[in-house]
Amino acid sequence: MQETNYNETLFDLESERRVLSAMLHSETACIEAFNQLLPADFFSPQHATVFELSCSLYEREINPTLVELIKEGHSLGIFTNPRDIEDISYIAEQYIDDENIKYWIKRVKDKARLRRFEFFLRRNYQLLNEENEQDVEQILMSAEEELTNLTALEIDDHIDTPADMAKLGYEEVERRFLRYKEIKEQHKGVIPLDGLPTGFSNLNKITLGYKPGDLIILGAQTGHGKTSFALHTANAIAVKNQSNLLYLNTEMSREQIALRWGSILSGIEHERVRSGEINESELSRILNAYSQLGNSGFYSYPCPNLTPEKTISIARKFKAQKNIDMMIIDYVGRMDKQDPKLQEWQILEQIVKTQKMLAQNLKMVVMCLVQLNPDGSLQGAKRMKNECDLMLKLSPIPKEELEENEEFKKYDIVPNYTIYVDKNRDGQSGIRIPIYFDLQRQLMMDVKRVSI
Amino acid sequence: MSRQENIKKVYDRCSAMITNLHIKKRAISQEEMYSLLSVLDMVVLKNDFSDFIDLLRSWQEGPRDEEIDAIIKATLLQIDYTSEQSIRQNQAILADLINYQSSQS
Repeated sequence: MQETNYNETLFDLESERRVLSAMLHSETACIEAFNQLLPADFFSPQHATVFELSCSLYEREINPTLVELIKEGHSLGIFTNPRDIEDISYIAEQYIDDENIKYWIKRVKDKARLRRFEFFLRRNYQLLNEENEQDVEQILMSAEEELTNLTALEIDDHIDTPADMAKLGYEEVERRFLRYKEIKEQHKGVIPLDGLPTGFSNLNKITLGYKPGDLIILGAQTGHGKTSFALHTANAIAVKNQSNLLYLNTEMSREQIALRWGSILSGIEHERVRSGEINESELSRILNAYSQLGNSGFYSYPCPNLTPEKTISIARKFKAQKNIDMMIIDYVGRMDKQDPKLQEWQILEQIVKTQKMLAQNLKMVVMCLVQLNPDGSLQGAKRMKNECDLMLKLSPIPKEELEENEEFKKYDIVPNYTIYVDKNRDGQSGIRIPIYFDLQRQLMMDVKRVSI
Repeated sequence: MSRQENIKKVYDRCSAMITNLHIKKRAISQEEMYSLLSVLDMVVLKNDFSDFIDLLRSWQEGPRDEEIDAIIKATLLQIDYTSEQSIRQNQAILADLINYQSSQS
C-alpha cells in the first residue's frame, strides 16, 4: 500500500474525505473544490477517482450526489465490488458545514504541496548520490528554480524567463503581422477583432473587441440606458456572435428581461410589447425574435441579493458548465454591502478589484455597470479607473449641443447619445463615439458619417 | 445531530443499501438498482416530483394484483429519470394502472 511508505505528516485522508463529502452534498462546496483542486492533490487514488468523477458529472450539469456518483462509477466499471460502495458511503458520511469548505480544501492543498516538496528533496538527494563529477553551480541553480516554483502559492503563478518573454513577444508581433497582411489581402481594410464584438463598429475599431481577462466599466446616470447598453452588448455577443454570456441583473425580474428581448429582437416598441398592443403579424415577428434568443448563448441570472462573493461562485459555475466568454453585472451599485462600516467608494473599489481578478482567473470578459453622479462623475472613479481595462461613459447629447454643434449634422442619422472612451489600456482613449439610441425600441445603433 | 444531517445520513445509507442489493447480494438487477437510486434522489433532493412519489406511495398502500404490479414495475424501469418529460408521461400511465388496480378490488 502506498500509504505505508509515507510519513503521516504528508497526507490527511480525513480532510480529503470531508472535501469529497461536501462536494456530494452541496453545490457551493462543489464549485469551490472544482476550482481549487486537481485530482493530483489527493493522496488516496480512490479519493482522486471520486473527485474526478464528481467534476465530470458537474461539468455535464449533473449534481454529483452520492446516487449519481454510484451510477456513474458503476456504469464505467469503477465501482464494482461491495468494498467500493462501503468506502464511498464512508466518504459521504464525513459531513461538514458548507462555510468550512475553504478550510478543508486548504488542508488538502497544503498536504499536496508538502508531498511535492518531499519528492523534490528525495530526488535531489538521489542526484547527489548518483553523480560523481558534479557541476555544483548547475545543481544548486536548478534546485533553486524548482523550489521557487514550489513555494509559489498558486499553480498559475508563473515567472517569465528572458527567453519566455522574448518568445512571447515575437509570437505576438508575428500574429499581428500576419493579421495585418490578411486584412490588406482578404478583408479589404476591415480589421478583424481580437476579442468579442462590442456591438458598435467604431468601438470595435478602437478596442479590437472585448478580450479575455478584460474588465470593462460602463458608467451612466439613472435612466440613461445602462440596461439597454448591457442588452445591446448581449445581443452582439450572445445572439449575433453565438458566444456564451452570463447576465446578472440586480433590479429587474425575469419577465421584465424577457420582454425587453422581445422588443430588441423584433424592433417593435417596448411599450406595445409590454401592453400586448400588437397585431398578429407583429406577434409572429415576436415569435421569430424569441426563437433567435432561444438559440443564442444568453444566460440570465436575476439576483436581487447579489454580493461580490456570490458573483465569483456564479461565474465559476457558468464557466465550468457553459464555458461563458463574458459576464455582465447590471449593476454594481445595487450589490449587497458586506461591511456597513466601509464607505460607498471603498465598497465599489473592492467589488471592481474582485471582478478584475475573476476576469483574469477565468479568462473571460467582465463588464460592470456603474451609476454616474448627476454631474457625470463617478464615486471612487480614480481607483476604479486604475483597475479596469476599458472605461466607457454613456450619456445623452444635450439638446443645445445638438443644435449648435455642426459635427452632429454630418451623420446619416442624427446621434442622440455618445459613448465616451475614458480609458483604454490597449489603444486610444479620450474619444467620444456618437450613437443613436431608439428608446422606444430599446435599440442602440451606429451612426455613419456622410460627406456633405 | 441536526435534522439536515439526519436526512443526509438516511440518504447515504439508503443509496449504499440499494447498491449492495445489486453488487453484493445480487437480489436486484442493474436496471432495478438504477431505478431505485433515481427514486431515492427524487424523494430526498428533488422537490418538484412530490406528486410522483405520492403516486408510488398510493400504489404501495393500495390493493395489489400480481399482473398489474409487473406492468407497473416494467413502466418504472423504463423511465428516463433525467428527463422531466419521460417522468411526466410515465406518471400518467402509472396513475391509470394504479386506478385500474384499485377499481378491480
